[in-house]
Amino acid sequence: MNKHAIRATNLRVGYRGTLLIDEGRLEFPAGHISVLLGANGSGKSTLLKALAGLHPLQGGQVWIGDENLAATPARRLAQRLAFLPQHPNAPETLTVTELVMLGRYPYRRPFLPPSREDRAAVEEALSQTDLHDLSERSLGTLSGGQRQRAWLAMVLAQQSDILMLDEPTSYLDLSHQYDLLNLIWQLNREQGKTLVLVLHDLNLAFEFADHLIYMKGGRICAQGSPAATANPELIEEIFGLHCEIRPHPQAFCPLLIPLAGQRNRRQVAMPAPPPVLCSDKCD
Amino acid sequence: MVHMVGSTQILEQMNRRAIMAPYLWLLPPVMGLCLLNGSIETLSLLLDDSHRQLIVRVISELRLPRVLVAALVGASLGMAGLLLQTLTRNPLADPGIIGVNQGAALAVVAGMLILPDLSPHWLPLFGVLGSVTSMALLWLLSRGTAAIALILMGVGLSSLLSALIGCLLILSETQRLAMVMTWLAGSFATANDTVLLTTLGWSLVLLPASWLLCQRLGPLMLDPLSSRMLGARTGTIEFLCLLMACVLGAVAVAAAGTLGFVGLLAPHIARRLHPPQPEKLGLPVLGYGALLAMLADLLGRSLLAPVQLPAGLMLAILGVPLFILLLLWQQRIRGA
Repeated sequence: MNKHAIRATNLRVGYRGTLLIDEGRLEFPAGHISVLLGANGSGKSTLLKALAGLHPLQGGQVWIGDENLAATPARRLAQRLAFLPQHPNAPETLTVTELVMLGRYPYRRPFLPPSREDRAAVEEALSQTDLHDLSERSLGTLSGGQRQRAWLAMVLAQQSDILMLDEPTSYLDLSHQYDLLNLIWQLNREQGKTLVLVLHDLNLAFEFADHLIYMKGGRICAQGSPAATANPELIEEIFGLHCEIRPHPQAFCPLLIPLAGQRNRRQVAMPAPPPVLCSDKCD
Repeated sequence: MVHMVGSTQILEQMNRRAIMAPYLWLLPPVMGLCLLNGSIETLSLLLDDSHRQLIVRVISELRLPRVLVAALVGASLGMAGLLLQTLTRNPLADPGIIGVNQGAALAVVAGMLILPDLSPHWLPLFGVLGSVTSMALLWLLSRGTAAIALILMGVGLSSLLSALIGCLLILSETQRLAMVMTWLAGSFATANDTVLLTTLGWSLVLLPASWLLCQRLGPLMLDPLSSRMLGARTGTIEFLCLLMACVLGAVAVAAAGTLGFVGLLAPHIARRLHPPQPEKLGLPVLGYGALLAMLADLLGRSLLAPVQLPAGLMLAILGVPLFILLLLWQQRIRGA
C-alpha cells in the first residue's frame, strides 16, 4: 500500500489572476486523519477542492494513490475519493435512504435498479451512522446533527478509501460536533480510511487529528502531529490569537486556552456579580 | 413533539403512497371526456342510429388527432420543464419563461409567413432551429455564471423574441395572419392528421429518450459540488438536457404555438405527489403535462361553446391560480 494517500507537487491554484496556493510538495499520509487549519480566507477550502479535482489547477499535479488526478475519469475518482462540501444541499422531501443511495451513483449501472451490493452498501452506511430509525424520514424533518449524519452516510456509501470533509462540524452544537468526530475517528481506526478535514475548532483538531496542516495566506506554514506543532507562537502567527497551550487533563493531546477575551480578565480584578437564581421560573 | 413528527410522517406517506400515480387513473377518463365533449353534443347522437356514422367520423377524424396532439404537446412541455428545472436547480425554469419556446415560435412564424406553401411536416425543424439558436445564445451569454443568471437572461430574451414575432406579424400582410395569431396563442384547433403524424413521429423518439435521460439525472438534485464528486459527467448531462429541452419545446411549439405554464406546472404537481428524484418524476411529469394540455383544450372549446378559446389562454386563466395555490401550499407546509 502506498504510504501517501494524496500527494501534490508544484501545486498552483488560484482564481482569475490571483494565485492562492503555491506549494512545492504536499503529502497526506494514508490511513491518517489530516486536518487543515487556518483563519478564514487562508485557502483551506480551495486547497481541499483542488485536491478533489473540483478546482482547476494552474500548475502542478495531484496524485491520488498512484493515479494522476487529471487523468482519472470522474466515475473512477468517485469510487476512490468522496467529498462532502461545506454547504451540501438536497431537496427537503428526499428521504435519508434515497440520499444515501445517491452515494452509489458511481457504481450503479445505467438504467438498472440498485444491485445487491448497492443495497448492502447503503445498509452498512446507515448502520455506521446509526440512522436506521430515521431511514424513511425526509431530510426536511431532520435536525441539523441528523442531517449531517445523513450526508456522512451518503459519502460513506461511496465506499472510497479517502474521505474529504469541508468543515463537517459547522452549525452543530458542541456535543454533536463530538458525536460526528468520534464517528469519523472510529471509521478511520476500524476501516483504515484516510481522512482530510477542514476544522475551525483548534481543540477538536488537536484531539482528533494525527496530522495538522497550518495555512496562512495560501501558504502552508507548518505541518506535523498536534503534540509537535501546538505552540502559542505558531497559533499567534497563524490566527493572530494570543493563547496558552497546556496538556489536556484527560486526553493525551494539547489543550488551547485563548487569552484574547477581555471580559474575563477584567472580571478577575472585579468581584463577580451574584448569580441570578431562576428556580422559580424554570421549575 | 412526538405527535408532530407522527403527523408529518403520515402526511409524507400519504404524499408518497396513498395517492398512487393519480396521473395513471386520471388519463383514460379525461381522454374520454375530451373525445366526447365539444361544440357538437355527441353522446345523444352516438346512441341515435341514423347519426352514428357521422359522429364516429367526427370523433375519429377531428377530435382524436386534436386530443392526441394535445396530450403529446403537454407531455413534451412538461418534460422540457422538468429537465430545465433539474438542470438549473431552480423551480422557475420553464421553456416558455427562458425564451426557448419564443425562439422556436419566431422561426416557425417566419417559416409560415415566408414560405406559405410549406408542409406542416417541416415546422418542427424550423422550431428546433429557432430554439437551439436562442438556447445557444443564452448558454454563451451566461457561461460561467450562476444558474439564476441563465433564467434571468432567458426572461429578457423571451421578451425580445416576442417583440420580434410581433414585428414580423405587423410587417407581413397576408390572409393567413388570423390563423397564425390563433396558433401563436397556443391552440389545438389546427391539429389534424398531418400535425398528429409529425408530432407523433418526433415524440416517439423524444419522449422515451428524455425519460432515459431522466434516469441519469439523480446527482443533479444535490448541490453542484456534491453532484460532480459523485462522478456525474455534469458537462455532458447539462448539454444533453438543454438540447433535449430545446427540441421538446420546439416540437410542441410547431404543433400548438406557445403554450405557457405546462412546463412550469406539470413538474410542480409531480413533485408534490411523487418522490423528488428525477428518475421517478419522468413518467408522472409526462402524465400531468398531457392531462393539463388536454383539460385546457377541453375547457377552451366547451366552456363558452360555440366560442372556441385557445388552450393557451385557458392554461393561463386556470393554470396561474392553480400555480399560486400550489406555491402557497408548499410555503404553508414548509412553515408548519
